[in-house]
Amino acid sequence: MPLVGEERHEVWALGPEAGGHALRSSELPNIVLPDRHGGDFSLRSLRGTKVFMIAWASW
Amino acid sequence: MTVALDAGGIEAAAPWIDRAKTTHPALIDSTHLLGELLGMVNVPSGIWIDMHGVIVRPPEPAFPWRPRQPSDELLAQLPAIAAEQLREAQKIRIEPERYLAALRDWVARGSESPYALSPDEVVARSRPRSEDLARGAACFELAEYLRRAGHERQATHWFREAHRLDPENWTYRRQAWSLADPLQGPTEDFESDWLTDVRKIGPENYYPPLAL
Repeated sequence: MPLVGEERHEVWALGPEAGGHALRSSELPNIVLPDRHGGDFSLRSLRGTKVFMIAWASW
Repeated sequence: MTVALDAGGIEAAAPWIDRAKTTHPALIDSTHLLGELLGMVNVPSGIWIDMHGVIVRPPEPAFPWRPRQPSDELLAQLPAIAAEQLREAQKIRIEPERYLAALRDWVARGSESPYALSPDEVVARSRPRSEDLARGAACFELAEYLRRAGHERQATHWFREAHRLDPENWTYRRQAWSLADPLQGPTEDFESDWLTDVRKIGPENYYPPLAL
C-alpha cells in the first residue's frame, strides 16, 4: 500500500492496495457517510431493498 | 440514493439537495471515499446494489435523462468560458434511454434481469488498480487533507501529483480545478482545465461506452 507524505506538516496518507481491481468482491463495503444534516448514514441500513446509487457533484 | 463527491462538503452540496427536494437518502462524500473504495472516476456514476448488499453493477456512467440543450439566449448570459464548456458538453456521448431501460428491467425483475451481473463480472468490470492509481489515491487524499488544513500550496502540489498518476480520473481533476476556479477554467495552479482536456481526448470519449 503506497504511503505519501508531506513531511513539513507531518502528514501522511496511505493509499489502497494495488493490484487487481478497485472492487475486491461484489459485497458493498460498509460505508458510512454524512447526510445533508450532518448525521451519519450507513449504507448497510438499506439492506432489504434494491438500491440505485448515483454519484454526482456540484462541480 | 445519491452521493455528492464534493470536497466542499455539506456547504457545497446542500443547496442542490434542498432545491431537488429529495425524498431519498442524499449523502455527502467530501473525501471521495467512494472513488477509492468503488473505483469511481467521473460523475454521474451509477451503482446497483441488490437487497442483500451485493453490487450487481459496478460504477459506470449513469444519465437518467438527456440534459436540456442550452438556448443561445442562456449561453449569451454566461461567462465566455462557461458558454464554451456547455457547447462542448453537448458533444459528449451519453445513452440515457438504454441505461434507464436496463435499470427499470432490474428494478422489476431483480436477479432475473440480464443486466444484473454476476459477482465475478462485477469485480472484473470494476476499475483495475495499478501501483500508480493506488499512489494517486493516496496523493489525492493527502491533497484534500492539506487543503482543509489551509495549506493551499502543498495541497496543489499533491493534487497535481494525483492527476499525473491517474490521468483518466476526472473526479480528481475536476474537483481540484473547481477549488482553484469554480468555472474550472485555466489557472496557474494546474497544467490544464476541463475544456482543454475534453477537447484533447474528444468529447465523445469523455465517458466510456455503456456496456450493458
